[in-house]
Amino acid sequence: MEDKLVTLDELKSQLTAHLENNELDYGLVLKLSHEIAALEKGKVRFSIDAGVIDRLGQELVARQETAVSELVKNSFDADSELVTLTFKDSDSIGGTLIIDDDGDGMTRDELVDGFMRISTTSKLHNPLSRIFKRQRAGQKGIGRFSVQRLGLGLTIITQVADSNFALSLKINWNDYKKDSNLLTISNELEITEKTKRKGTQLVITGLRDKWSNASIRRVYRYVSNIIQPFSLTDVVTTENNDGDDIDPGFKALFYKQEGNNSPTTVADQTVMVYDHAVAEIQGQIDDSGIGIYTIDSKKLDINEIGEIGNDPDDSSVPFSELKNVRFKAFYYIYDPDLLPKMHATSIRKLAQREGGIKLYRNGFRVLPYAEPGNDWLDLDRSARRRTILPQHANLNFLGFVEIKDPENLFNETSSREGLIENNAFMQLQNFVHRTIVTGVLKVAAVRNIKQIPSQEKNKLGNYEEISVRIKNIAMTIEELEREFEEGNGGNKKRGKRKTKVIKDAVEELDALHKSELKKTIKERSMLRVLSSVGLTVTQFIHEIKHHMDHIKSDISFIISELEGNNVALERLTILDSNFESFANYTSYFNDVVSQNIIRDIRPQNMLKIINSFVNTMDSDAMKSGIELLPPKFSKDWLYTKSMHPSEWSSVLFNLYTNSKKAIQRAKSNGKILIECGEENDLIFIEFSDNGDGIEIGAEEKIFDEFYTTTSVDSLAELDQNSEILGTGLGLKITKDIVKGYHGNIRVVSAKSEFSTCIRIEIGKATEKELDEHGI
Amino acid sequence: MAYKIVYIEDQDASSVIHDLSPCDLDVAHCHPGTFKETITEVDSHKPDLILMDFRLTQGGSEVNAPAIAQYYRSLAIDDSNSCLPIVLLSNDSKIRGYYDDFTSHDLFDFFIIKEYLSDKKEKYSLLIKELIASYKCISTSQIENQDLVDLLLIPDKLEIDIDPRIKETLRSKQYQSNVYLASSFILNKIVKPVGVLIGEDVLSARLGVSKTSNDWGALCKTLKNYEYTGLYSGSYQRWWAYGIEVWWKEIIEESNHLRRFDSEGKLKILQEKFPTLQLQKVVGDPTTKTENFWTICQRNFLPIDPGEAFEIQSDLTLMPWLDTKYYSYESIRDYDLIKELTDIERARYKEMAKRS
Repeated sequence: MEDKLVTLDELKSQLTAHLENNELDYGLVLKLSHEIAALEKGKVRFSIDAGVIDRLGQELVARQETAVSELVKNSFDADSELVTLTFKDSDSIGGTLIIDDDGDGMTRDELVDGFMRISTTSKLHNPLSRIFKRQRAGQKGIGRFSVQRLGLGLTIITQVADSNFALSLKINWNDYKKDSNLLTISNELEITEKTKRKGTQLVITGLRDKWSNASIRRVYRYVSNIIQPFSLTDVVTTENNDGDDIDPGFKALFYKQEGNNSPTTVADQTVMVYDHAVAEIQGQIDDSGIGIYTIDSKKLDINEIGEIGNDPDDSSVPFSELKNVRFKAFYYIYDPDLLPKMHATSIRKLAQREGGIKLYRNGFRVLPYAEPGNDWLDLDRSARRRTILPQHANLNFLGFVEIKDPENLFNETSSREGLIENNAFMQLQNFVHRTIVTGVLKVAAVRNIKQIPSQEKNKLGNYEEISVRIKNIAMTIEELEREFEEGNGGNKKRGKRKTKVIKDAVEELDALHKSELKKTIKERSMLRVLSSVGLTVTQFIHEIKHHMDHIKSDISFIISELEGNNVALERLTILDSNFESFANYTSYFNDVVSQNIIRDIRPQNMLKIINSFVNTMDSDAMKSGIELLPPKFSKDWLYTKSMHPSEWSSVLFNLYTNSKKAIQRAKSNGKILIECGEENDLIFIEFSDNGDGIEIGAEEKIFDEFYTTTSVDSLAELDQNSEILGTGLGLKITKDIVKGYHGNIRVVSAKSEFSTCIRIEIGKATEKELDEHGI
Repeated sequence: MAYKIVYIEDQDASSVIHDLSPCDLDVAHCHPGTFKETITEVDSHKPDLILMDFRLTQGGSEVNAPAIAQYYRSLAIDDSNSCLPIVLLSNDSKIRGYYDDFTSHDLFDFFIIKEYLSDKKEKYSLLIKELIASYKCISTSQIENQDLVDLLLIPDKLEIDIDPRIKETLRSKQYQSNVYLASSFILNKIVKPVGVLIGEDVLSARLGVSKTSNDWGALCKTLKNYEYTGLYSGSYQRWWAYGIEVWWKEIIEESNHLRRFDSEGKLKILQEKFPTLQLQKVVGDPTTKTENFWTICQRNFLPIDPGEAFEIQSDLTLMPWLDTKYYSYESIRDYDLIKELTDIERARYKEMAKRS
């Protein structure tokens, strides 16, 4: 106690002496005051170790990409319109990252009370951003720790609009060592000249990670949900946009710079989204009312200009009520040739949210057009109807229509949900719809893709050229009436001819249907027999499960009791292992049976299917002296199109039993190998064995019904112990399953140490399928 | 005195009875009939615990297990003394789906797959006994108005670091009056999952030392002070997660956080501290690349680095004091677990797998 008092006095006098100096060392003042305060008898205070920064940064923010995406979100939250990220010399550790935005910036108070204050609550208190009322995206107070996570040093240069200087703050994270007091570590704050009107620049030096193009793109994808495909600045060409608080949208540009080279764009809207469009379809109507459209595609080398009129059949008829309209649409085709898989998923996700053609009137977005579920241009419906075949749903477009409407030809409904559907609006719908479909057909023609169901291929394998009449989607009542009258037009003879054609077609269809029906009935009766067998097996497997648990328990009990009786014990151990492999064998069927509870089909992961098959069949194979080699996969991503898992079980089991029989006939040292991979968008399986092979000429027959390798004349000849006999149905069923999914199954030439190889090919899962099943 | 168990089973029950009886459990078989008959028979045995098969209707019962369990659970609302532990025993592993559903309806304490019972009868009989003892312990504590938190036996040193919400929950009125709730909270939200407590695998991952090391046991002994000794510690060997960090700082005298080292680094520090111990480095599955292990893969239970592994989408029941769960790349690949990941992780996995 005595000691401390002395110390307290000492500290006091030190502080007083120092305070009389002309030049104050604020760090020392703070340190002394802390020490004095710590000696107060009746009260204690928390102190914070500087190591907390490290804990919160490196340990809280696990992944580098997350850290950067948090910083981009901060810019978004600060009502920034554009943020640029430049990764300098980032191919090795120690590079520099510059994040530059044109957001609000921070005043000195905001910097001190916000950024420099740990666990600030400002984002919690203000969930919406100040000017544009954005839903704030950043996580509460994680930003600055992200910075620490990323690099060793940080410089913040920030300026606000109504101030005539900028602030520059330098932080060296290495100063924040463990076992020092967080509150006494000072950071340099300077007042510097403004470099722009407002905004914040973060310079992170000594990056802790390498940044490849792929990881930079990943950041872009993480933040893509706050970036809109079109921002108002893209759209609005008029200056009559006087509301300052309309959100102009948010853009992010990602650059990479090595040494003194000029920076290259790694990711931005153009690289990540627009460049992948197959075509750009644009249209506009000027004062004359005639629509002009252009279709451009670098990928397909299309460059077309055309006219479009109010009458689908006459392009010289002007749109009477349309003026000063323009639109632009990026067209995406989800086909691996045209859209790399890597980007397809993210673009599809974006399109699910933002797809369709948005409508802007006098600089304001009009809802609900192109909101998810809205189909104002009849694209989804038209795509479903399939009178026009190439992809053209809302999901395939990102675009907007801009109308300048000083005369108020378009009126918003009183509920402020959309525009009144007057003639002007109908013409707008027709114009945009027909232009887009024209573009879609043009692209399909260049790609040599079937455009309408009746189109045929010519001798060269190309689709004949056709001109498709694109109908209006919106019509006035008079127009509808006219259309109807023309269709039913007075000429009686033509009517009769038409009826005859229809009648003939129906009769032909009927005959076809009857012959098909016969086949179906035959096949169905076979299936009935098989399914009842299947049901019995199911029942059996379920029932014996109970007994098996008991037997297992009984065996292990007897084993423990027979301690000492070697002969009996030995025999029992054999029984135990026999029973074990029996249990293994049935467990496979048990899995298959219980899979039947799941009725829906989904993409199948071949690694799982084949691995689990090999694992369960391994002990059975070993008993038969067959080596089931470890399966080979060409890669880790092998998903077939949606199937039922038990179908694969059945296919693999059939192939396996066939191989087993072939090996027993050949009396060879059996070997079975399953290989799986991907080729030309098909998943293939090659099932090889070294059995007695398939006789030449029978390669096709083996897939027929009741083809067996051993013929039996009468039931009496059936030897119960012989496994060699089959019903001849196995491969037929396998083939049916594969064919059911438009797959292929055939005998291919076997590799060196094998004699037979059966190859199955099945379509791989599409991105859409995987998406739907959450994979 | 052996505990009394009633086993409700519509089929042959002798093997299960033979399995459990040597483990000091007195098992009576109840063949289910009508609902009333079943209840009457169960009650006549005055059991300490009810064990039941899931499907009972095939052998003549009117209802399946949940209805009977429901009856006993609702009985306990009026009289907390009559609260009985109920364990589900089934041969159908697919029941797990239903089971997960029923836990939310507060029905079963535990689920045993029949197949594993005879293999691990010591483990399961221990758990059954501990369940009964814990029920009695909680019940006494509640009647005497004692703090349920005491049952966790938190070491004094760690007292302030334990998530206050754990204490709040156990002290809330509902938990102070319902034995089943309190028991399942302690078992399922504290003892079993990785979070405030960690098991041997996670401990091995965090220390960077293989469990198969000759002196693993000796190393664990140095952690004795932080071994969990509260309710259910008989069946589950656990350590206080934060205790390990205290130990690292105070006993190992290393000021840098445990998480900052890879296995190599941790092993080196440990060997300098305990030169006589024979310790080996722990290794992850073949697809792991870094060694900053912190937790384990939920599928193969091998150590993983959370920075490298893939985060599992957590359900709503994840308590704030529990750790995020992860799968390793290999597990996702071989067992088709991609669906269970969070959105961002799914995309990351997909990219990696496609590049493979």
